[in-house]
Amino acid sequence: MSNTEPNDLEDLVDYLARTTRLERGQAERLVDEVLSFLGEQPEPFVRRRHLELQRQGLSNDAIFARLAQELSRRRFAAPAYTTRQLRRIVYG
Amino acid sequence: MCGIVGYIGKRQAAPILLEGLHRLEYRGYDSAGIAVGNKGKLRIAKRKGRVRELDALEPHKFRGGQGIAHTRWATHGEPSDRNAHPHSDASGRYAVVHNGIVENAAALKAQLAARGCVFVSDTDTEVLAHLIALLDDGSPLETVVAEALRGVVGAYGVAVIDAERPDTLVVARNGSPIVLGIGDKEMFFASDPAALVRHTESVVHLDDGEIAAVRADGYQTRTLQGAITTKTPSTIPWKDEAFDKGAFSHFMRKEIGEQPEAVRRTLSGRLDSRFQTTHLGGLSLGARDLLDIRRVKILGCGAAYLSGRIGAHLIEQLARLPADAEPASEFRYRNAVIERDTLYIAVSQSGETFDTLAAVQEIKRKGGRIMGVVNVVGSTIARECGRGVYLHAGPEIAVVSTKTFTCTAVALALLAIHLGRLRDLSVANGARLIAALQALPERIAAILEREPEIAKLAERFEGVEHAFYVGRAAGHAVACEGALKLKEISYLHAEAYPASELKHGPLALIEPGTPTVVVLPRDDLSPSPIPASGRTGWMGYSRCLSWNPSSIRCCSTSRCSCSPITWPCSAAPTSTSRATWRSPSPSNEAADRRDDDSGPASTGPP
Repeated sequence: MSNTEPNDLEDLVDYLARTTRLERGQAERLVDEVLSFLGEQPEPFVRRRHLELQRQGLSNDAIFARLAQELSRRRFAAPAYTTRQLRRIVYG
Repeated sequence: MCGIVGYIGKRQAAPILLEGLHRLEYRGYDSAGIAVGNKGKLRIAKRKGRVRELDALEPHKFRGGQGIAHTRWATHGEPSDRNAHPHSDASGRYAVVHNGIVENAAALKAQLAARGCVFVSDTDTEVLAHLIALLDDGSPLETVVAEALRGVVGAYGVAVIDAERPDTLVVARNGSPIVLGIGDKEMFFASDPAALVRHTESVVHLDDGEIAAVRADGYQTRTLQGAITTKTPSTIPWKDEAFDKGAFSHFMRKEIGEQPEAVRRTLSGRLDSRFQTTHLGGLSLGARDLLDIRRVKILGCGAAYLSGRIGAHLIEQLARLPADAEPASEFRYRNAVIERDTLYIAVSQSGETFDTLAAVQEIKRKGGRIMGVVNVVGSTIARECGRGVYLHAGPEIAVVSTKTFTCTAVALALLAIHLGRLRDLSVANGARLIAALQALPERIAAILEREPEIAKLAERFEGVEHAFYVGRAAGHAVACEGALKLKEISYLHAEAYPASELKHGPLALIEPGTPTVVVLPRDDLSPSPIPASGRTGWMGYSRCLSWNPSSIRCCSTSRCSCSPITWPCSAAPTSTSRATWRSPSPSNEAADRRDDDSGPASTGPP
């Protein structure tokens, strides 16, 4: 969100400012916080959660079952695409 | 600046008391003394000079399981054998050791003299011994001492022994700390936990206006008016080894060297890299409370005040809250307006600083919101504030503040980030700051490894009588701390000035050879102080020592006798200044890692 280039997140901020009690600045911050929270890549996420669940005393079987569930629900940042890959996505 | 230690129990008291005196000697050492009770009599030894001077009187041979001892830094009366504590009444039955000042000592002395008391010392403490002897009607000792103290005006931490009451010692506190140590069928007390850690970890802090009857099997506390109070023992978090200076030549040097580890402990468990913020468990203020705050006022004395100025700068920059710092000693005397939407922060290493404590009590009395930034767990200011941040810097034995100055700045930086993230500090900025704090201990260590170079640089300034320190914003607070350290340690006159103020008069005081230390963090202000430092050089009057993240530089001018030297830094030094908190810019990330701080001045430049 700190990027001043126009992007579709501006639409989301506009929408939140229009439809909730949030000021535009607050909506921007909220989106920024959520995006930052979801900015973790899958592998670091799995390692961190494994450690956390292990500390809670869960066995590996229980941990991996739970991780599979969590991974299916959670949004992750896309990997970095090259221009060539982007072209392929668009033009096949 | 005095020390009290006491013991009652199954062991011989004298060796424990003498060892405690050695531990407290850093509090003051113009004289020392000990009183041990045995078979209805007191044996007292006291002498001018350091604790070891007592050895000639062989106090270690005193038999008896109850005793009190004192190491003194004179307030009333010159340092001498007769003014050394303990002081006793004419019969020699009661003995008293005392920290603090009895303000109405002259009036009490006149009253007692009129009743036939003869004084043999110049101290205010002797008054207490005569007063207790006069008032003793056979009541329990604590009742007699309480009655005596009700007539006393002033600050005290006091301990009393009565030869004819071998099962009880009495201690009381009003403005000067007393800590009880709980042992196995034995009790200890001292004015500083340093004297207790070798024997027990379980302690009880007396509050102002409290008196305690201490017996081998326990203690009972009450107010001076007689109401019984309930105390909860706490644990001293420090080990005995922490009070040993080890291979270091003195405690200050040891504590400078401990900074990386101390800062690591201050940061431990408080950096939240998942949400790019900080976690301060002792704050006890929720987000809604913190968002209600409209202003921050930091109070402290000496180096605590100066580190508070750095903290105020950080809070203002990161949280965009108006923030300032003020000496607690000034604040408490000026009938300050206390605002409910202001967060007051009391900073103290010991947690016992008298003026800071008085300011805390004044703020609480007027309904202000207060928190502490304190090193000693369970200390009076910590308890009075009820919320805050412990530094966990470890014991600071040297009278001058070193590692706690740094750790206080770090703790206030943690608070600034917390307040900032609750407001408008972005995730990206939070992440940068968290990463910078994580890297801080290693950066401090890198600076400390350069001590021989810094010592070599200091040789260039041998023989100077005055020094100037200049800086801007947080750099000025660091400059003030540098000047304070030079005054405290080297007994040299030093002045710290805001960089641009130097030209408004003080510049005329700079003579050939006067060193000027320029605290020059590489931040967005970094070009600004240069003209001031340059000007001192252009005038040919000063040897300028500029101190910035990438170099420590001594420059000469045409009229300066020293040759120019520069030490490029291999690693960026520690950060306590604004430079670390610069706004993020993707393009200068590498430069940030290289440049972003200024810290060595905080460890006391030469």
